[in-house]
Amino acid sequence: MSRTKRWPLIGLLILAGSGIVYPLFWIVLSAFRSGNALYSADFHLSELTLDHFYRLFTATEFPLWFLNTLELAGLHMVAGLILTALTAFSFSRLTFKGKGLTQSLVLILQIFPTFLSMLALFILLDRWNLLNSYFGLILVYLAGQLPFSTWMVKGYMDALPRSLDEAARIDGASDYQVFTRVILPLSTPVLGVVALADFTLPWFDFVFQSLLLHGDRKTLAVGVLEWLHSPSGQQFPLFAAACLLIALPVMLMFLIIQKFLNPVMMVERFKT
Amino acid sequence: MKPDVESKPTAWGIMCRSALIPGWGHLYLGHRSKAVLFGLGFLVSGLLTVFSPSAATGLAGLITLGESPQTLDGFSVIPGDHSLHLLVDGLITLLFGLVCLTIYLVNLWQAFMLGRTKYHIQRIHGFLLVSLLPGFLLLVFFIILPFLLTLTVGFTDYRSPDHLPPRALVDWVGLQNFGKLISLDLWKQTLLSVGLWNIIWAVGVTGLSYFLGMGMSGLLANHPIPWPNFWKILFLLPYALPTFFSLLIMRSLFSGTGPINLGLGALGLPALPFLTDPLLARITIILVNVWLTTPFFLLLTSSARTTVGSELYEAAALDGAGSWTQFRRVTLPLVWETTLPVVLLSFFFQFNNLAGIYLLTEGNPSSVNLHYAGQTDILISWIYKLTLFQGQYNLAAVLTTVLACFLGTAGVLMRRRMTEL
Repeated sequence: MSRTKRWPLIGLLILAGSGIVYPLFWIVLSAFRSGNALYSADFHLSELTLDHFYRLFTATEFPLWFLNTLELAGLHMVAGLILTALTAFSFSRLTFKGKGLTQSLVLILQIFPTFLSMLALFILLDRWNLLNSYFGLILVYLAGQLPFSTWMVKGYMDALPRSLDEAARIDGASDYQVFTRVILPLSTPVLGVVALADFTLPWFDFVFQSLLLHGDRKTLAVGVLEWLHSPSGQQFPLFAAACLLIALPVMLMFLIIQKFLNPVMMVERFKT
Repeated sequence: MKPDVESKPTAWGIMCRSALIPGWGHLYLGHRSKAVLFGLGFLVSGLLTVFSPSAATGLAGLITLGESPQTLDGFSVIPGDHSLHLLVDGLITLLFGLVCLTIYLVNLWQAFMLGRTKYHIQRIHGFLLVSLLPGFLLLVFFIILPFLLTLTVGFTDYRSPDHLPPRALVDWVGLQNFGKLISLDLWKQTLLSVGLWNIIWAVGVTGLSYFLGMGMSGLLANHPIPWPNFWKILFLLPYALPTFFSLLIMRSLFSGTGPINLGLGALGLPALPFLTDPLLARITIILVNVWLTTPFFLLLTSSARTTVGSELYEAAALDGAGSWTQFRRVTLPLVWETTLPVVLLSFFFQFNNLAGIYLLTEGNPSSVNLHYAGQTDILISWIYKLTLFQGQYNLAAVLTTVLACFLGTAGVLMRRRMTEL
């Protein structure tokens, strides 16, 4: 291709790129700019400050929300990993009656979001005295995540050669040993993806958290959302600062693992 | 106990044993572990049906939903029947009973088949009880039971302000709510309007971002550009940023006094009501979500492109196909075929993308012609608002049922299409 034809293309890329970068640039700017002015057009370098971050930790409930969400996310991740690994292993390596039917069910359930039954879940958790408890919320999350993560991990386990577990079985390994000694160690990459997904979910879910938690159990997503709803926009710089603190680590982690997330590989798994 | 060949009992004999005590027939034929499984399963589910905490009110409560509401005697509250608790307990009892009945019937059928022929019994993995039970319980109590509960609430008058337990009772009203959805003009009109927009929204966002992603991956794949990795990471950024935050950022960007309107003002242009004018809000909300979704399709289509063999392009070029014809006749059909399952799943995600609507506009601008819904509300955000703010629980449940029927049908069709591929 000739050099002259490259320029329109590069122009297009820069245009698209600036459309992507502008919102990000703006949120970074808001987090470091002094004052509570929500949206001012002019800007000087001397205005840069760490004030909002300082205020975040000293003058707001942000630390409490952060720790609450961290607890929720950590517990959810551990429980989700154990549950997903066990379920996916059963689907991939063990035979049982009704397996085909259950697999179809798991696939179809993926298009039903959990919050479709939010009212029913509220009534149920209320009946079981699990309202405003992380245990109840985690159970709701686990059930919602299970279909997709099982499907993903099962696909990965299916691709592991059968000869490995046959060899182990000849040496007298039980189902449990095949699971812990052979399949589990080989599935760490895909379990890493599940761990990340399960860990990040509670940071950004506002639907169930606003419905099921309140008071000192309040979490980050709900708290941040309330800041944005404050009428005067006074809290906007705080929102921007919190956004940087929470979203940046997730973004970095995602960019690191994205090369393991090959969408075409996932397509292949849907066909089985 | 070993039956000798002469007096081998008939299939009916085996079945009668299993009918008396589940598992006996299996035990008689020497399938000890299956016998234990059926016997214990029946015993446990049977005990749960009769003696679980829910069984106290059980099916009777499910039918009456309570007779005496909570009353006040001076300042002390005299507790009455809590209709919702009765409903939940009744459903749980019903579930346990159904499990018990299923175990019993399967046990009978297997015993009969075992007695009649050389029925092949699969090896039972003991480990299955440990590995599948947690997932199974979650499925029953947090997916199936909520589905049933939502369905049943649609047949009651549970709504604010007159039918809120424990102060008041909830009653069965039959098909009344479903009837209102068809007969009440306001409800019907809202459902049609919201449903139509829901489809436009899901098709619009998925379609636009698919073809945009496809175009971008084509540009990146076929043209030498400087620093390809830099551009790739840049284009992935909206995908990596958690949607929760990106939507809230966009909402501030496009708000009435937001930076975009400030910028327009600086250029001497009038401010635009991006999120408050009905039509403009719909366009803005679609475009913002396209901004969010395109990177995913860029990723998807660029890896799908690598699966198209280069010999196909060579053959097409030999036949005199230009680059546009090659794209239309080779790339597009093959990439479409490969990515269709993910596109379908993505479509359904978009169809129920509560955050994509609610975090940006909360469904607003509101309209007098819509029953508690705004101009940008999709079904699920309408349901969310009916539940959280309006207390119209029975209407929300009816709508959820309608939506679930649609999703279920679509899901079964999708599953069939996927197995055909």
